[in-house]
Amino acid sequence: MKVETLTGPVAPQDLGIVAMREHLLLGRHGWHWAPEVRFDRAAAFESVLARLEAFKKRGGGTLVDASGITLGRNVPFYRRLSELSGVHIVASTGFGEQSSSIPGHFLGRAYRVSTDARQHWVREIPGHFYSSHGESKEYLMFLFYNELTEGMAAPCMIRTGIKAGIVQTGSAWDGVSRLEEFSIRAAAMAARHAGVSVITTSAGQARRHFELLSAEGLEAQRIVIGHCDDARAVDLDRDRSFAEKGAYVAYDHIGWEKDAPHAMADDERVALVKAMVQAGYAERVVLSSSAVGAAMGLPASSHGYERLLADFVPRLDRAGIGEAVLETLLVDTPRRLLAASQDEEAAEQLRAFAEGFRSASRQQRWDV
Amino acid sequence: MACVNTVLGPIHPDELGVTATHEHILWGPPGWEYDPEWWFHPPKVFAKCLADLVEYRELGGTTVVCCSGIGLGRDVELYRMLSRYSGVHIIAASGFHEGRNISPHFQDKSIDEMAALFEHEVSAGIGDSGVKAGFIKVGHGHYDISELEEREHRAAARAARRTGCAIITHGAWFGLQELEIFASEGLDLSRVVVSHCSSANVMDIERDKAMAGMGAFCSYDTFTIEPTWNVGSYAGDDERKADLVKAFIDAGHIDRLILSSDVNLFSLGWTRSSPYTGKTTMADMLRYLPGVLRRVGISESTFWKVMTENPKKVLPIE
Repeated sequence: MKVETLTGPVAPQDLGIVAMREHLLLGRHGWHWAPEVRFDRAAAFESVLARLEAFKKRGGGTLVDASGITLGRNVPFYRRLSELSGVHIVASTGFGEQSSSIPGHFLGRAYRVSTDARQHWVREIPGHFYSSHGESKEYLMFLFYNELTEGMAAPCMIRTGIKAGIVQTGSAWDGVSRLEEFSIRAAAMAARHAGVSVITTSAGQARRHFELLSAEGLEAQRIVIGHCDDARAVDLDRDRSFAEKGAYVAYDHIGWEKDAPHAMADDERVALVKAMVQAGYAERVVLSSSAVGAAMGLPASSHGYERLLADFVPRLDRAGIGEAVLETLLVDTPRRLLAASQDEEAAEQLRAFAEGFRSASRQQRWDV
Repeated sequence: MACVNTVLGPIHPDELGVTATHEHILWGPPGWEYDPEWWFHPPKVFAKCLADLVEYRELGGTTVVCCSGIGLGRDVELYRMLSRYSGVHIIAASGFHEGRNISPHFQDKSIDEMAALFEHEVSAGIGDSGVKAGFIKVGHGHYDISELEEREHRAAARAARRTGCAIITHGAWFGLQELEIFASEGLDLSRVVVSHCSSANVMDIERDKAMAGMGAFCSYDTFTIEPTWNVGSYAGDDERKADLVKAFIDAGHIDRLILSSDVNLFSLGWTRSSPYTGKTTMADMLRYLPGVLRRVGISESTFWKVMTENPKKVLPIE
């Protein structure tokens, strides 16, 4: 049992206090070309580092960057920050909402294929079925699975040897598109094969996310329903029903008290946590603050990663949540969620399948 | 004085020469860089593109317009190197493509924000590269002009009015509606090239005549993309495209005619330019198209004249 972090595998008992959903950098694909986005890489490094150090100083041990592949993830950048701050960082693979985090490449064919015999001929090409990107959940499954077991892709076409430790998935607020459904199913398949957990975004579709993840055979103990403290969708009955099924609910907008659609007072979050604890579900709750280290063209958070420990935990304390429960919320539960438990035999089978898939799809590539 | 923005700096319009007006050096929807299945070896891609451009120049070509917009493979640093070592003028695009291929960062931007972006790229430069875009590319899908695509079109029209640059569109499915949007923004339609009038799934000579009548340029730019090797629904027989060009010329619109071949010298994240699916280059068009046109009664000198004179009417920035 180990946890894949940016500085290598870590034993679960060494994680310490864990913030389950944070963001180091956050920006949608294309921010790089936007003249209004002034991104100073050195300044961003400094400010994220300062926030990580503040988290560490308050007793934080591990931080999960739950941005997925496309929202600004930069593996070498994050790794250096982790080394300097001493905070373990677990990075994520997967996609969230289509409109912000799944760029056109994954939408399927760039162009429609003529509807005549040639189409069927093309389908005879070994591996061609899979080359249609987002048109199959298997394609995305391999994308995520390889990031969990081989290493994450970094900018500049580099496959780092640094593995993702969790899968992030989700959808738009008001529905799950065809591609988002593939992405959620693929997240479940990849997480199941790699023995890691999935954390979702967009509480508006939480039940649908849970259904899709379960339909692909991911056990409830590997599912974290994120953003359950989104002001638009607070629902204790829903949270209790997830907890009852064995899944986890994340109250992960701590510190977002105004100026955002999901913002609400932290005291209301305290009430949510208290209600869950009183219902006997202390072991089914995780906490985090969705703080943003540095944002590129998206709203940044006014708070840092230390908000959870500096402000929210004292509030919980005042509300009568005892030391033992805090230990469960901040240390024990995340430790269980992050510890990977891959079945070696299943992994070997999938590795063989992936190798066959890759050589088949390479046949139809160019020679460069 | 009018000039044309190339990746190596502005040139005089009379330097354009034989110009392929709708081509792509690299093209691919955004996001392939996250997908290791589609990674490639950059030096080999550079060598391939360079060889193709040199061949194009040797066959008489002087300028290539790369219609890959923001996030769609446009790589101006690479284009500068290619231009420097091939001697071919390369014109880079601002703007986007159809809505589904717009990078997520820009999908929720307003008309004015998009217009400011396009204007910045044409008049100040692309990112911090110092390279100025030469025109604005817009696009729409096969089924409609979506709300996002309408924003994109209006923004392009505003930026084109402010900068004096041209607009090249993707797709003639709703070409007339595109022109209406541009006209409602007060854009002179002689600054617009409507592309892909020769796509097999969208041929309509009456529409083309109407668009030319409104002053826009009609681009027959899928020459060499034939169903013998390409499975896209846009691939059609070159003979049919040549018939269309002949009809367009006979209707008296030779001054609104653009010819090109819409090749990818290298495709990013999809299979068009690969040995398996076949591939063509701009040089193939120069080698092959005069013969195709001669068979329908268009002389070779007309071909070279169209390739030289017509791009010069639309590309220069006033």
